[in-house]
Amino acid sequence: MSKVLIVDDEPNILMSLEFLMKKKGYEVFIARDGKEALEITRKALPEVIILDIMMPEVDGYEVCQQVKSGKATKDIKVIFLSAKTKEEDIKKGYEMGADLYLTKPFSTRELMKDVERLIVKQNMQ
Amino acid sequence: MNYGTLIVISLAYLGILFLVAYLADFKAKEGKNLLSNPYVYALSLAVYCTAWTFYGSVGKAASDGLDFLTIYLGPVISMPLWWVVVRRIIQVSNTLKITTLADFIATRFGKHLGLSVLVTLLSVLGVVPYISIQLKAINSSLTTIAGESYFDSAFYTTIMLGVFILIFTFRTVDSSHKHAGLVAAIALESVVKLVAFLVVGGFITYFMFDGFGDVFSKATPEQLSKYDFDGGMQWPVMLFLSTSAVLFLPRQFHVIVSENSNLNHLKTAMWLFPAYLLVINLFVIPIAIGGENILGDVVNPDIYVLAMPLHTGHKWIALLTYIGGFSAATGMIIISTIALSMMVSNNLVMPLIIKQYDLNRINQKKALFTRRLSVVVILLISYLYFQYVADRFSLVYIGLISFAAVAQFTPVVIASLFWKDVSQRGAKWSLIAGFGIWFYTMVLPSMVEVGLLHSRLLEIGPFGLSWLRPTAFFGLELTNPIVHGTFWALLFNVFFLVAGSLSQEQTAKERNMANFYTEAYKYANDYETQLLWKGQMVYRDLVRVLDNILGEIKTRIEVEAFQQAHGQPMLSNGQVNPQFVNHAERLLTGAVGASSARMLITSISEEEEIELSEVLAILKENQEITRLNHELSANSKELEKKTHALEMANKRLMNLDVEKDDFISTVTHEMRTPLTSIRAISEILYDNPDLTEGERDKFLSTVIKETERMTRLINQVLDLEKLESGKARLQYEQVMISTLIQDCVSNFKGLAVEKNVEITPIYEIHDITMKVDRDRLSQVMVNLLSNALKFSVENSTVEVGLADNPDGGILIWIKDHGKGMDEESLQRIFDKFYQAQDQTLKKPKGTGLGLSITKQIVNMHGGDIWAVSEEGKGTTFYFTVPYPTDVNTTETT
Repeated sequence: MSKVLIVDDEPNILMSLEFLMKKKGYEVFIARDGKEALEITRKALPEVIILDIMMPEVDGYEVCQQVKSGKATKDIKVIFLSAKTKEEDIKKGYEMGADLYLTKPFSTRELMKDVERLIVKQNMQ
Repeated sequence: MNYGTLIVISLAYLGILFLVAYLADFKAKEGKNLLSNPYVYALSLAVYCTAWTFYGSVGKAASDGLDFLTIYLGPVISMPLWWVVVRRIIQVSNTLKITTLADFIATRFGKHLGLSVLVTLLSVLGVVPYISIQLKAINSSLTTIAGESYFDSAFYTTIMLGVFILIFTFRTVDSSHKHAGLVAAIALESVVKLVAFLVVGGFITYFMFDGFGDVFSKATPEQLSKYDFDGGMQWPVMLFLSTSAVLFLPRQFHVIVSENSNLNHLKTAMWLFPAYLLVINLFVIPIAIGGENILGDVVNPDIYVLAMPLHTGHKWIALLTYIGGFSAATGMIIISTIALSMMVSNNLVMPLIIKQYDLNRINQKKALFTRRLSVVVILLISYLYFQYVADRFSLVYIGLISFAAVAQFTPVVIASLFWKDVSQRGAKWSLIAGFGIWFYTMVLPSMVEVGLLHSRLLEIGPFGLSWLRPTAFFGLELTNPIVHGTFWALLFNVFFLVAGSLSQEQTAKERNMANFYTEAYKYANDYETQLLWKGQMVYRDLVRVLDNILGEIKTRIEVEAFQQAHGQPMLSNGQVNPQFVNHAERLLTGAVGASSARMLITSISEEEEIELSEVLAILKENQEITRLNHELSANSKELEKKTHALEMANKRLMNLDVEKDDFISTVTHEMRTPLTSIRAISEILYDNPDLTEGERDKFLSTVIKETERMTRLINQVLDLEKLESGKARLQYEQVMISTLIQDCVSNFKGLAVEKNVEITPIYEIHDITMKVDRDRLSQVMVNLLSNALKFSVENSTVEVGLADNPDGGILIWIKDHGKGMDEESLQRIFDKFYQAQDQTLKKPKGTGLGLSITKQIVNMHGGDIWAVSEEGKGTTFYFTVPYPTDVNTTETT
């Protein structure tokens, strides 16, 4: 069963994403800030992380960078899901090593397709 | 020996001087500057020894014994002081490109033209007779050797010297430029006169007599008794006069200060020069005694040095003596004339020209011509004085009057170096008083003596006032008029210096210069930055003046040098960099003197102080121009101010623009969050018809909450905008404050129970009614209470307090027992969209605008709001509401 980690500090968004991922049959992990996200990532080693950017203390950019530079975690796919829509924010996201950058509000169907695609890709590596 | 021979020899001697001067200048151009030799400098100072020394010392010794020595002992004794005084004068002068005493004094007191004119006139008055006695000495030495002449030898000597001066000085307009050739020639003259005097002295002592012992053994007891030291009043006075003269006689100031190329040369001069003075006097007493014994009264003792070798028929020795005397006289004439002409042209003629002509018509040629003309005029006056006046006075008396004159400069100069508070008025009064008394007590009596005035003046005083008798001022009767006059002149001089200075505040510029003079070494290297210059000047105008006076090439070099050392001379608005104004003024000072430079600068600039207009009535026509300049620059200043205001407004607008952009971007960002939830949940509901009822309820209620959140956000943004832009007006009405608080608290009952938090009112005052906007103040209370509840930990209390504000009005506080905030959060808590982190709820439900709105409302009521927090213990918000003033209350009835 593929593992997905959802990181966001907005409870209602977490709730919706959790519902969607579980319905699809993924094993879902939830983190409400960057620090928690990094801990869970190292322990659970999910295939995909859906990552908010604006969070207290450790922000999404840093989480992504650490994941992508960690030896055991570098192959994990990272999807940014953020309300930051400026071009420079998106650019920065990809610079941190993200595989995808989606802006809020997002289409649930597209997100699901992207998650599935990335899991397949990850499993092939 | 006939005139022909003597004239040929004199010309040959001058020819050698020309040659030496020429070679020295030539070498200086090749970089081997004789001026860098300290011995040349030290020897040139011996220009102090004139024909007066050469011929007059013996004469004075024969009549007054040891008194002749005072003229040399003064400088010798005071020499150690040079390290303090002279070194400082040179330092100041070199930095400011000062070349004359007039500039030195005037510059210290704000370049006051009146002062430099005064110093110049006094110098000329004191020194021209002195020059003329040199002509007299040359003339009488010629007659002594060759008998009465049938032509005017003094006239031709004057012309020859004039030619020499014109050739070897003033070839460039920059008078601060050192004259290597001139100084070399003067140093040579010092050697010649010393050698000549020692040869003739040795000849008389060892050839005509058998050494010192023989001379003295042949002297009569009366003769010897003259040389007993009598310690009279004249000694201290004469020592003082010679100490001053060796510094402040124009020729001395010129060689010591203007021609100094290295401060360390003073060290050599300080032993060599006094040694020179002692050595040249070695044979004075033997010559005097021997002369009296051999020649007696038949010959004037002033020409014993010449008459003695002639008496024994040693023509070559006499010829050498003649050359020595000639060199002593010419050296003095040359340097004195140069120094005086510089003062006259810079301080008397140039200012007139500057006033008279358009600035564009003043150029190098005119400045040079002025100076050359001054040389000719001064020599001519000296010659005329010699021809018609000098014959009537003794050599020594004229010399001493001259000494007494320049001694009047001493108090001002010393004060300017060591007393910061000495002011322009003090300097002016000091000089006028000193010279007034000098003239009255010394010059007038001498005029009586030669019959120009009636002797009644001396005997019973002017208008019969005996206490005003020039030789017995206030009844003080002294035998020596020089001692008497010097005493009174200095007394008045110093008194008025102090009185004048204490009675006048210094101007900023004077104070500035006072610091500079008294702390010369400190400022030597960054003069430009240390002097104040405040005003407006167009760069192009200044460069045009520099071009005219210094020449275009020199100007360009100086501009580039300045640029490298201090940065751009021109500011971006076309105005001159104030530092460059100082630099330029200094360059002009070197060329045309301090006062003229000052006038040139002020004529193209707009400064705070314009002292010139007070001084010269001639400036009237220029005053109109100055006034127009004033207006123009006032206009341009006004314009500058407005431009600045506009720039500031623009900057503020741009800041506001950035702020607005930030605001919009934050607002849209804040809107995206609820929108995201709504869309995601809607899509879930749409795509999943098979949801359980519980799931569907949960999702739908979330959608409702999130729409509420968005509505709240929109309302608050609009509300804040209304408050900030001033569109919202408070609706004042009488409100019972405690009731208002109670109403608000009761709104939170449900929430409080839910979190198990108790809200405790603490009213220090109860029945207070005041005019406030009821709804707005409720909004404040609701905001603060909801915050307090949100951050409270479970099972805690929230205190709501009401008290009198000692400053008038009321003070309300809301205290929670939550986690508290750190310093950074406290600082930013009232910022828009700032949300404190680490709250008990994972995500605050607020919009981040509540406290901004709260603060706006409190401020609109005229009150203050602030928060105090202790991490881990809780936060307290305080706000005050003052009693409203009638002006800004709109009452609804």
